[in-house]
Amino acid sequence: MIDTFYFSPELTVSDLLGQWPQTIPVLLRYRLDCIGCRMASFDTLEEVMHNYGLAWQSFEADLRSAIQES
Amino acid sequence: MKNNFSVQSVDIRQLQNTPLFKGLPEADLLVLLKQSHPQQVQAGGFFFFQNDPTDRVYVLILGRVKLTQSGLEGEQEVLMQVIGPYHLFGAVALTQIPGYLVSAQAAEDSAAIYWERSEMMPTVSTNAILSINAIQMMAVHTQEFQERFRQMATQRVERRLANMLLKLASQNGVKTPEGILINMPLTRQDLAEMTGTTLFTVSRLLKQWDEKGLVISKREQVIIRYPHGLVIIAEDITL
Repeated sequence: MIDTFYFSPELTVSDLLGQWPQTIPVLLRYRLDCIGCRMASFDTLEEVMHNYGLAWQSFEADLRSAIQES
Repeated sequence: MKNNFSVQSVDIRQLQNTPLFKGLPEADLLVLLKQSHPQQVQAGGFFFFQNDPTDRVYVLILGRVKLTQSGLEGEQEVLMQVIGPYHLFGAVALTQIPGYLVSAQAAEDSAAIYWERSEMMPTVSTNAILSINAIQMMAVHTQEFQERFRQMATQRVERRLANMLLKLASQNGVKTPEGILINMPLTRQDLAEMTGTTLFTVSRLLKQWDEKGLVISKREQVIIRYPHGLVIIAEDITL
């Protein structure tokens, strides 16, 4: 159980959404298809970066600010 | 084939997760379990055939069971569902429907426990938890089949096959270094029967997807190498 705000690239999408539902708007803003995706329990954030061609640093920063602002 | 399978082999904790028994007090479940009977069927054998009188309701404990339905004209069978351990099958025995709607064939050496309709019905009809759970089970079943029907009626075969693979992976998937393995014996014929298409079409599509690096397709095994790629096909996502 990760209880700090540092996100590991190995975190699965479903774990991210389950533990931090505040990040849902971030995923929607990036136009990711993760919400409701059947592969959410398998795909890691690293794989999402690769699938969508995103940069980890800015994405992770956006996730963190979604938590801090909530 | 286990020679020592009996009602004692059943893990009560896992049985508590069987949808029919969710929320049932452990003491009540133990009483029910004691009333059940064991049955083993070797791979390829049947627990019951379509249209047999609905005498028994089963919970699979070991192995895997395919539920298939034939029409009257000897056309290709449809593979309705694959049952894994601690899931119910033959649930129509809890209803007024007189004949099984499907045949239940063991895909691997399998062992189940069953209750006769005459044993189970009085319990289900007087126990509110079991009754509600039975309704819930039927609703989930209907939901799934409405969705599959909708896909069949409106989606091209590529989407139906991709959707089926993703569904199977979300239910039976295991992450491996090669990708997400659908952890059950799964032939191309099975996939054809589940998606309402021919063996030829499934083979053609899997070969294409294998060449593109989306899946690894072996004789009885499918591994999803690139889940996102399959999702794009399944949901017809335009990039």
